[in-house]
Amino acid sequence: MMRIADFEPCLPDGFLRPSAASAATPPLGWFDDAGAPPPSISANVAPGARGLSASLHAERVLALLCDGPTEGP
Amino acid sequence: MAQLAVEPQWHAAAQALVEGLVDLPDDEERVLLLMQVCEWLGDELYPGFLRVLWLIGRHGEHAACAAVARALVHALRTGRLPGGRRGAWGARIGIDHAYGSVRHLGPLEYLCAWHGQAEPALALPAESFHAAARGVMGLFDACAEARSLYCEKLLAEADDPLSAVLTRRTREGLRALAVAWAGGADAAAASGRFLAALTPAPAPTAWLVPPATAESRTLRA
Repeated sequence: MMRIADFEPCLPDGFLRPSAASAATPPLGWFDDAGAPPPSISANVAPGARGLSASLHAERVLALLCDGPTEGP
Repeated sequence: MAQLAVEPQWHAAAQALVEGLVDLPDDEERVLLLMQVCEWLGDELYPGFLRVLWLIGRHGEHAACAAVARALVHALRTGRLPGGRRGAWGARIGIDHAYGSVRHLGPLEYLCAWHGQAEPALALPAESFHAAARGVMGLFDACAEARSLYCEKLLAEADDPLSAVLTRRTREGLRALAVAWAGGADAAAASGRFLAALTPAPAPTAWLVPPATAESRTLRA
């Protein structure tokens, strides 16, 4: 019996290929270790980060990565 | 939609994420934190979330990696592994809104799909895939349960031809990675299995062109 996977080569070429990554400019160098190694990431919690809610912790992370206000979608 | 800062503080963000996961009182809150960071970054910056995970896996102390891994266990158990969206075959993100036109992929599946995609200019190079996959897998390695659960999920993804996101070869590579990882191979070896499975076999040109015989030389002349 033929399985769905067996039909794959029969599909038009475009259908064989998943769409491109959603990022407009793929950050291809993001996973390269260049330069001096950064300090290790510890499990210690900074005093200012204690007792926050999940949303406030998320905002804290986003504020370090993104410009402008960091709010939910 | 979030805009990446001109100079994002990746290392500090990775540290802040670990602090949040350590500080929050229960697994439900921890998964919520992972999901909120992922959602607020959006589809375009999902690779940024992967970079944060990679940094923790690469430069995190064992306790930091274990804190993330424990949160990922709960995420896996509840089917909420933070994922990035990719278009299914033939669908265009942002244009096609039909059910099934986009699929959520977990961190490793996303990296596999990114490397295995057809457009070479947009594909994640093999060296970057290897580095990223090792970092992400390093996180899961910090907790045996996280690793075991994720291997099961990866095998299920590899055996699902209907998800319409991974090509057959990418699924074969993913299966090779998951089988090796589940069997005790380290992250580098398992990642290497994926890359090896995607490397095309050399074309057997030697026997495609028959050697010229005296008869064929006469005919050509």
